[in-house]
Amino acid sequence: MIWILGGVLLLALVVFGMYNKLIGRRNAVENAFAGIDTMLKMRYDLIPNLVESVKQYMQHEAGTLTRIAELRAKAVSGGLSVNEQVDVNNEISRTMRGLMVAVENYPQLRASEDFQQLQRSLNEVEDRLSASRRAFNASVLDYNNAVEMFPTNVMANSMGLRRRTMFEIPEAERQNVNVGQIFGQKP
Amino acid sequence: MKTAVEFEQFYQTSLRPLLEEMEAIRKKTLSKVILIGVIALVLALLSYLGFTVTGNKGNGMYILMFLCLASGVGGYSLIVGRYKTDFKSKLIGPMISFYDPGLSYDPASSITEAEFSSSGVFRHSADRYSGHDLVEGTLGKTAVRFSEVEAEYSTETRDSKGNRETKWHTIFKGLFFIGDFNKKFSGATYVLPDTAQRLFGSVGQAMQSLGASHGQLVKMEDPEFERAFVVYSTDQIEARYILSSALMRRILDFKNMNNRAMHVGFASSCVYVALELSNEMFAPKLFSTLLNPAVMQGYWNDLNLATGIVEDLNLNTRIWTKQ
Repeated sequence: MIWILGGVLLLALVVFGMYNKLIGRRNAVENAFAGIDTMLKMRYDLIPNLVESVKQYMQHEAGTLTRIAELRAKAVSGGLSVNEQVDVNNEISRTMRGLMVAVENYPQLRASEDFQQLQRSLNEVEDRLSASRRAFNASVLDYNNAVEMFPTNVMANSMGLRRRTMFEIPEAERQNVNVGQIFGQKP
Repeated sequence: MKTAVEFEQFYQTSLRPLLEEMEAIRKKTLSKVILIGVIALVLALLSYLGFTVTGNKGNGMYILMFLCLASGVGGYSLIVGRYKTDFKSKLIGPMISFYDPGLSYDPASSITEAEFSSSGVFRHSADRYSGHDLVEGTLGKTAVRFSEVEAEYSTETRDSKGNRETKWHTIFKGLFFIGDFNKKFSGATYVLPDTAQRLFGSVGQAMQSLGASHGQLVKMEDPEFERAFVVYSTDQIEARYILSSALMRRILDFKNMNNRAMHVGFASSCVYVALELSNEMFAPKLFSTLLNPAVMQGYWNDLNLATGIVEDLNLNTRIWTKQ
């Protein structure tokens, strides 16, 4: 009798352990996602300053600046699905990279102290954003391992937990906005 | 910072005359040391013989012999101490000023115990702490301070007779470097040598998260880096912000190039690098000639090892909000 009771107790402990592990990892993924969100918001806050400080110099890039402002407005308006958010932000990243390359042609702008400060902030936000994506991917990897590996996969199935997709970080995005070159420093 | 060619010129024009002067002092010091050693030994022997002949062998004889030898050792330390000070102020000081006028050198000072312990790189509190050869100043845009340090803790054991025995264990012995880091951060992140994963694979990795006295375990994407190091941090995102893919590569390259155990910490806006050394960095040579060019080359390499951290970890790149 004691053996049976002991066995049941042990089984219960194992089940609780697996359940808590899965919940812990799911929460870690959500927490990491919230981290990305925070960084995105910091970037949204910088965009109006950026547009404002460069528009008088970069008249030839008016189209790009308008596009960035539109994308930002879309991103902060809310009501976007996760996939749409990712798409909008990818486009913001791409457009901003293009803009930073174009800055090369405006020496006056490059020399402006305000702009340099803004670029530093932007660089920091981009790096923090990349760090939060990497943190998200690391927590998704842990979560997916738990969801797919035996024996936690049995538990995960019954809890309805599904595999999550990692952020794909394209090669271009792995590099920082190359302000180093703009400041005449080694990247 | 200077190149090897510039150092060669400096060696020929400035160091060579100083070395010749110092070589004469070294020879004199060596003769004094030998003389003191011989006198101490002869006196000890004479006291032994004296007591033996008069048949008074006892504690008195041992005390006298001990006093003779102890004065020999005392005299040796005094003479060698003076030689060391002379050597460092005449040769190492000018070499460091030549390397970068922005650096200052104080052979008697070191990274303080407070700085060492507040870095959090080593968690064991030290019962005995010492250090020397402090170099500080600015290299490019980066403020640096480094010195040799030795931190130890003691344990006490009792044998079967109840005698207490104190044993000293090294926490860290080597070069301790503090540099102003180029990014702003608020938490603490540590990159430590990964012995568990190297020896026990994935089981070792599981063990790392259990013994995480430095914070949460952070699993990085670079497998080679992960095999060499284990990362702990107070913040998963901040750890990755500090340890960009490029910086991970640089730390790994630095470790492979120098092939020494290396601990790196990021806290209080600074980067701390602790590099184990088997030999003292700027230890003067007493028993071999100073005129061999390899001698100064060795000190030059030691200096480059420490200052190279700035270049190798790219600390002078200031493209973030911290300038």
